[in-house]
Amino acid sequence: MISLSYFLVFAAALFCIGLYGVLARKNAIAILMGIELMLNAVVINLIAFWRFRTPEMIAGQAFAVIVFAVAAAEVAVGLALFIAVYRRRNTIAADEIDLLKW
Amino acid sequence: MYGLLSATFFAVIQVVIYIGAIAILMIFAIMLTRRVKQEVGSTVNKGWWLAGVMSLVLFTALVLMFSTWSGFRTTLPEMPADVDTIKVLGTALVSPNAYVLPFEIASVLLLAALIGAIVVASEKKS
Repeated sequence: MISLSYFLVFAAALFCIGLYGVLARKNAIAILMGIELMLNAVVINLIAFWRFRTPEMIAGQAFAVIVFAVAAAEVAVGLALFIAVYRRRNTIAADEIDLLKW
Repeated sequence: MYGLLSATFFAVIQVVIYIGAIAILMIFAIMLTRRVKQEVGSTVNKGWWLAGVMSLVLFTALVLMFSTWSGFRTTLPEMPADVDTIKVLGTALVSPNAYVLPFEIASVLLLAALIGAIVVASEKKS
């Protein structure tokens, strides 16, 4: 029988892979993908806890739907920002976008 | 994963969102910004090993913390019978005494984000 531990460990692994991507990669799009992985880990946790704790209520799923919508909005804005930055600076390497640094 | 948790709606929506929308957006952004790849030597930061160590430490810490928790081994409870999850979810998302307000706010947020994305990414006609 599947226990809650599988889902928690899987989500933790997904989150940590995303964290590594965010921290280590230079490409801004890769950083965005890492953020997506972390958000997905969170959603899996939400659904898992909903299923194991309160399967008779729908609050967990409704919450996860909202998280999905916010994730999609965040990706759209992030990619638009990268395109604008690329147009001005001709790079999307995160360490070369240093307008705010001196 | 979602199928195992009997959240069929999420199993479908995950595929639709990530393949249908976000992957397409990513491909466009990558194609538009591709020319950088050639002159950049390394694709990772100088501190990439530190990031790896941090991620591994966080993973081990999380698993250790989970394993001390008493509810860690909870087995899958029976789904309440004669409940159609998708139907309940759909009703809950639009019924005034449940989640219609967060739902509408999320819709407005998506619209605002899309308009903002178009404005940010569009070229200045000057």
